Amino acid sequence: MANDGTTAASPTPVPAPPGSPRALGLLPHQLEEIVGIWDAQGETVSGLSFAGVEGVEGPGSETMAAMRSVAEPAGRATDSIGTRLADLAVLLRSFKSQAQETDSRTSRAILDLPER
Amino acid sequence: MTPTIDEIREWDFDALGTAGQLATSNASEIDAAADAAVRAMDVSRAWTGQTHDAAETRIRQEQDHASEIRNVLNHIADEAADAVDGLGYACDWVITQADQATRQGFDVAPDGSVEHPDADRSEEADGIEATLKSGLATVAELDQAHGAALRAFVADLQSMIDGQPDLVVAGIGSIDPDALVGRIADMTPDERAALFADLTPEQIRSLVQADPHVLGNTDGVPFDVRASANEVNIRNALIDELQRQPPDQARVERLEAMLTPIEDPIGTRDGTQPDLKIERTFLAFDSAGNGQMIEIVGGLGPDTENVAVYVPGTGTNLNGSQGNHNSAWNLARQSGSPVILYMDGHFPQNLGEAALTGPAKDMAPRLVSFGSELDRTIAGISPDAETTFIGHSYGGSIVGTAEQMSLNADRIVHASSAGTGVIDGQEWSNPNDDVRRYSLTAPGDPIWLSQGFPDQHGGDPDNAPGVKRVDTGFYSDGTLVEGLAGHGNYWNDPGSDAFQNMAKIVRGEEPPGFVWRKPDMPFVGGLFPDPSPPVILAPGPFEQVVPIR
Repeated sequence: MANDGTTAASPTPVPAPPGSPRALGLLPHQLEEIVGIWDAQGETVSGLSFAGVEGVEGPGSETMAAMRSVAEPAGRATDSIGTRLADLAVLLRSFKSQAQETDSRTSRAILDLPER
Repeated sequence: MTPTIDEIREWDFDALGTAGQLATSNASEIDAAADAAVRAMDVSRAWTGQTHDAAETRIRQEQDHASEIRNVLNHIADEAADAVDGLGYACDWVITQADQATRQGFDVAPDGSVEHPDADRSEEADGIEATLKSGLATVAELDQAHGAALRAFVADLQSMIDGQPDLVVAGIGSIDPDALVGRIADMTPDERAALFADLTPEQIRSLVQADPHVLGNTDGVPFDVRASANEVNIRNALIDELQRQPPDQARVERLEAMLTPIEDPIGTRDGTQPDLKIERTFLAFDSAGNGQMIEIVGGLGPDTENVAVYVPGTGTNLNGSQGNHNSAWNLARQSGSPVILYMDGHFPQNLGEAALTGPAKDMAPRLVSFGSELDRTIAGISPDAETTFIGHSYGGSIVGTAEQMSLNADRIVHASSAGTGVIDGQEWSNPNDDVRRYSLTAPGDPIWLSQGFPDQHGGDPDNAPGVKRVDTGFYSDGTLVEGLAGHGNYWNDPGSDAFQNMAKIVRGEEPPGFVWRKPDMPFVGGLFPDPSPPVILAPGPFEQVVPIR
C-alpha cells in the first residue's frame, strides 16, 4: 500500500510505516535481489565440504589425527553461517508486502535471532 | 610417543597438504560469500526503516562471524603447510637415512635400532642408530607440536560455531572478543603487555581470530602473537588479492613467497639432524597500497647476543621487498644474529618524494615505539643482547629522526644515509649513553646531494661528531664500491667490505675506519669542494689515504 492508502503499481519503493517522514526506499525488485543474493550465498556456504580432510592417513601421528578432526566442527560452522544467511533471506522475503505492518514485526523477528 | 620408522612411512603428507589447501579454499569461499551478502545491502542505498537497520546489524554480525571462522581455517591451513614442510621433511630425512643404512647391509629396526652382521662395524651401527633415534625424536616433537596446535584450532572452531563466546578476563569480567580488541587498541603498549601477560593461550587465540589486523600490528602485543596474527593476515590478503579482478600478480607472488619457508640463516648445520627450514615471521603486515611489514629473519632465543633492525630506503614497498629480505637474510647469516627488516610505513617511492621529510617524521615515532617493543622482548628472552639500528639511504633519515625522538639503541649505522634526522635543531637523544654510531658512504655516492643540505634531512652523518666513518672498500670481485652503484649495490654483495663491516658492527666488533680512495663528490669546475680527503670529526685512526686498487 502507498502512503495515501491506494494500491501502488510496481515498481515503487516499499512504503514507509504511517507517520514515517519518507518512504523506505526499497523497490520490490531490489528486495528480491537482496533475498536472492543471501539465499545463494547461504547455499554456497552450506554446501562447502570438508570431507577431504577426513582422508588424511597417518598411523600414530598426532598431526594427522588432529587434521582429520577438523572436518566435523568446520562443517557445523559453515552450516551455521549458511543457515543464518538463509534465515535472513526468508525473513526479508516476508517484508515484501504489507510493509507498513511488517516493518516493525520483521525487525523484531530478525533481532530475535541470537547474538553472534 | 615416538613413532616407528614403519609408521612414518605411512604418513600421507600429500593428503595433509591437500587438506590444508581445502581449508584455504573453503576460507576463501566463506569470505567471498560474506562479502557478497553485505554488499547486497548496497542494492538500494535509499532503503531505510527498522527492518533495514535490523538486517544491516545482523548481516554485518554474520560477516564478522564468517571472518572469524575464515581466520581459524587459515590458521589450520598454515599449520598444515608448516607440518608438510617441517614434519614432512624430518620424516623424509629419517626414512632416507634408514634406507641408506639398509642398502649398506645394516639391519634397521622400526624403532631405529641398528645392527650389522659384521661385529667390526658395530661402532658404525651405533652411530647410525644414534642419528636415526635422534631424527625420530625430532619427528615426535614436531608431530606433537603440530598436532597440539591443530587440536587447539579445532577446539576454537567448536566453540564458535554459532559465534565467538565471551571471554572472562581478570579485571574486566565477561567481554566479547571484538570489544576487548577495541579496548586493546586504545591501550598504551605497557598496558597491552600487562594484559597479555595475564591471558590464557585460548583467550589470545580468540582475540587473534576476532581481529588479526589489530593483534598483528600493535606494539605491546607479544611478538609471537603478532607473528601468529600476521600468518592469518597474509593468508587473508592473498584471498582478497585472488578474488580481485584482475589480481595484482606481483602482489600474489610476494604474498605466496611470504608464506614459503626459508633456510634458517643462523641455524647449525652439522648433518646429524634434519636441516629444517623455518617459516617466515612477520611482526607487522598490511597489504593496503604499497604494502608494509616488519619481518624478523632468524629467531630470537636465549643465546641471542645481538639483534639488528634494518630500515631500507626510497622505493621500498611490499612487491619489491625480496631484495630487502635477501639483504636481511645475508646480514643475519654473516652476523649470526637475527635481523629485523623494518618496512612499517609508507616509504618515498621516487627521488622527488625522497626529498620530502614527511615519511621520516611519520615513521620515526613508530620506529621508536617498535624499538621499545624489541627491548621488552629481548629483556624477556636474552637480556644481554645488544641492538643495532641500520638505516640505508632514506632509512638513515628515519633512523636519525628516531634517534632525535629518543630511540634506544646500542649501535646506530647510517649506511649511505640521507641525513642525520629531519627535526631542525634537535640533538640525538638516545637514552643509551654508550651508543656507538657509524656511517658508511662510498666515494661518489650521489647521496652527498642530500647529505650536503642540513635543512632537509639533517646533514652529513659522515662528519657528525661522535660518528665513526667506516670503510666501504671493495666488492667481492675486487672493484671499488663507488659512484651511483655504490649507493646500494653492496647490500646485494655480502662479500663486499661494506657489507662485512656492517655485519661486524652488528656482532659488536669494531669495523675498520674510513679509507680515502676517491672524493665523495665529483669535482665540477670548482662548484663543489676540492677532491681532497674530507675532515673527519669522530676519533679514530681511519683518515688513512691509500691508492685506488
